Amino acid sequence: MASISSAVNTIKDDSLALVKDELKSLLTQAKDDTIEEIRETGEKIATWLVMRAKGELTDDEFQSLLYARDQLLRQFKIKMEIDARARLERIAVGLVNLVLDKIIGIAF
Amino acid sequence: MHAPARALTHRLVFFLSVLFALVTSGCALFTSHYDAGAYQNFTNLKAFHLKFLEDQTAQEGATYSEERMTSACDVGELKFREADEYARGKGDSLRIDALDVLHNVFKDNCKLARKQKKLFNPVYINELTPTLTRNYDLAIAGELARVKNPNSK
Repeated sequence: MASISSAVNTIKDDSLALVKDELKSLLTQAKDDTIEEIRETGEKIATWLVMRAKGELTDDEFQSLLYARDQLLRQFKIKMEIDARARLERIAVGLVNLVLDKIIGIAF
Repeated sequence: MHAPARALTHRLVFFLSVLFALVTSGCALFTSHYDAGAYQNFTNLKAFHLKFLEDQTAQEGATYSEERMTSACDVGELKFREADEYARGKGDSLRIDALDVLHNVFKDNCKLARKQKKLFNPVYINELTPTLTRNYDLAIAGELARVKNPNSK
């Protein structure tokens, strides 16, 4: 994995100083995140920035990789929502069945 | 029955009615159940997409053919449309979205291929493949995580 500073330093345009600061801040936050998808996204983007600077990736390829990463994060969000809804349903159905069968059944 | 006991019973019946209505109404709070067809579509598309990238990557002896690339993209487009129609028939927006995300990446791959008019750079494919594989694995895991999956404990 490329270091954050080497990734940020691939941006040579001085007029983008603010962008560089923001990029450094976001890459640092991603690096320390507990969610694997976020941490890995930071590592990948740092690596791809350096590869692009070295000419190993074209701008179009770099853009395509970023898009694929963006779509992966969208998929991750969808999966979390499915997990949460499925969990809710399991608990709700379990509760209804338990109360109807065991508690109401005994009470009436 | 004493008044406090009656009040408690009324509350319990109300709570159960609401819960029962939620469970049986297919409310958006819940997700649709596991579907073997959707699972199969995700796994088939994963195999197809990875093979497509492999076939269209520059390697010794391989030559670029716009006709072959266009044909492969058309085949993929049809597979995604079929899977999309199937998902829409099931009426769960999360499943449709999961498929849409994968379709977006495929369309982007074809767009890049058409633009550069050459086989994919192996360095680019090496970087893309783990991200794409993880994307499919999450979609497949999402299908398996739904309730009433006969294979889950």
